Amino acid sequence: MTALDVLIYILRGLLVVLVVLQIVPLLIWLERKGSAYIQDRPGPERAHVGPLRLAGLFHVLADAIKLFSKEDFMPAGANKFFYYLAPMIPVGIALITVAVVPFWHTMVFPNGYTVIGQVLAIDPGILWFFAIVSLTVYGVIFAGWSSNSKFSLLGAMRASAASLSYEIPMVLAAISAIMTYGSVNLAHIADAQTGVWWGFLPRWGVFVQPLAALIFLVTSFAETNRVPFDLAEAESELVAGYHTEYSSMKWGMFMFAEYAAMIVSTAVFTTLWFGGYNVPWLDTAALIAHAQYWTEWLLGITFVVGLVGFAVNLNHFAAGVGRWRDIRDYEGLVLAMGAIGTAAVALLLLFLCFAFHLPDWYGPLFAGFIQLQMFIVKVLFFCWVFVWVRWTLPRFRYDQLMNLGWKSLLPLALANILLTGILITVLK
Amino acid sequence: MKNVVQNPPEAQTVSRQINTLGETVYLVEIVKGLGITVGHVLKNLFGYKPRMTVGYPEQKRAIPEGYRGKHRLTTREDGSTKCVACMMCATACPAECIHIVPTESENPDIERYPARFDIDLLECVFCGLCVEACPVDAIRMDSGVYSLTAFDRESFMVTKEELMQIKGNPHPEGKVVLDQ
Repeated sequence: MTALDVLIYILRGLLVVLVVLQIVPLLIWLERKGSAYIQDRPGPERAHVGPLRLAGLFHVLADAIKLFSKEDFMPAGANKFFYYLAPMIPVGIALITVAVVPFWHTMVFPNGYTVIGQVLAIDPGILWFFAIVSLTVYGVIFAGWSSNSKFSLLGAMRASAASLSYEIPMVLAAISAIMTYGSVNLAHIADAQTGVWWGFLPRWGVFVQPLAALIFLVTSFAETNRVPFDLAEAESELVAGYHTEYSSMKWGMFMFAEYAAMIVSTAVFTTLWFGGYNVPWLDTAALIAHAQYWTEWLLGITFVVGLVGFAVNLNHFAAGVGRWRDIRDYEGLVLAMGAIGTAAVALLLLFLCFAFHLPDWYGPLFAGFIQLQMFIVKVLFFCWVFVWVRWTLPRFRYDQLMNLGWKSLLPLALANILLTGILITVLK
Repeated sequence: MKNVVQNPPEAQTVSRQINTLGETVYLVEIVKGLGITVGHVLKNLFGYKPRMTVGYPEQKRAIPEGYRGKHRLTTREDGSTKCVACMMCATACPAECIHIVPTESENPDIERYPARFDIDLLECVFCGLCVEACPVDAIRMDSGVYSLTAFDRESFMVTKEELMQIKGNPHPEGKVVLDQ
């Protein structure tokens, strides 16, 4: 192991952790803005840094500052050790489970140097994910038990019961996928979904195992304790459930963990059923071979988008003057300048691309970068599905939750495994 | 369980029978619901500009006539207060937030006037009984001021001088300018 290997290893780890850390604020913004638009409200839009509001993105920053500076309150009679330990568990678990997810196909550079797309390239893969992610419930139980409050305890008991009930169909649904792909390593699973069927349909798992994908998605909602299965924090009955007694950044960590768990769930969901990092209709070899061609296209698109953004933002600026009567009125102008600047840089790079032949090592790097972006786009889409479902559906009643889990999802998952087994045997 | 709860005669029983297979498996109905919500998102993202909400500090809704806002003390033409310190308002006040210190007036036509007339706005319940009780129309709540904010409790103890300076605004023309 050379120094370069160690550096690459650390960089990979940082990248993956940073992807999660950076998407969480985005998701909080997505949740607030998405819920606002679903309910015909404008949503967050006021907080600003200089003239920039960015549609309320800075509210998340303001919230974080608020949470860090609030009083850290501990109720009387709380068990201090577990009370402090509880918020750390879900956050830590969310950050380490994402380590087995492949973010790009192994980059093979012309000199033979390889960079794998996972932080932890271990063979158990999905099994490791299930083993670790089921520990999340300890965070919830510790929080509920240690804070010496009946609401917290009830929420924790509900959460643990729901998590245990829904883990079984979730794992069974994943077993169908494992049978289909013949591997538990997520990198192999993502790799198996490269290419197309009949010339147009991407070889994604969802087209082979639609039922298992659906069961996995539904159980993901329950695993992350989100609507329609968020009985753990049913605010109409339990104040806030297991984190009722938490304040300040300890509460913030539960909030953070909820969104981090969403990212991990959707990342695994995407890897198992929606091709993972695979760009539809473009496999890794094609991306490497035509790296220059696609780079030119992307730069061209960036140029056009920059020009359109310039026009749109300038129009916003002209139409919106006097709305805020302060520096925020100039946001459109600043964004228009940024857009035209981006377009100019893209045009410059485009000319450079036309003028020079890009070096050999650029191909694998480009493929890895595009696959990382593709993966993030897919993850963000499914995170939006989580948000979308949350603001559409009402909460399940507790008996309905248990009925759905044990009487519907579990038999369906088992039947799906049986069907998969029969089909695999017959088709062989 | 039969006849345990008697429905009131005019109450209607809403049938909650789940009939179709599509409703039983939730999925079809869920997709329908998701369609409705994403319709709202798209409508708000592209072109649905007049919103239902009011951007409060910049935009204000018109307040209704007869709205009970912050109190004010009316004045005579010479600028002195109309209040005769009869204590009717302080007596009527259910929150006991009006504190009056009466004193004798040099003007022979007026026997008493308030040396101090303090209202604790944090105690006030804005019931308007002081206005009803006043025999000389000295206290009114027609200022149209409904946003009472300060950084300390002392600022909510308003004195006679402050109350006399507040202008009446019986028909506030708060105009809602919808979001552009």
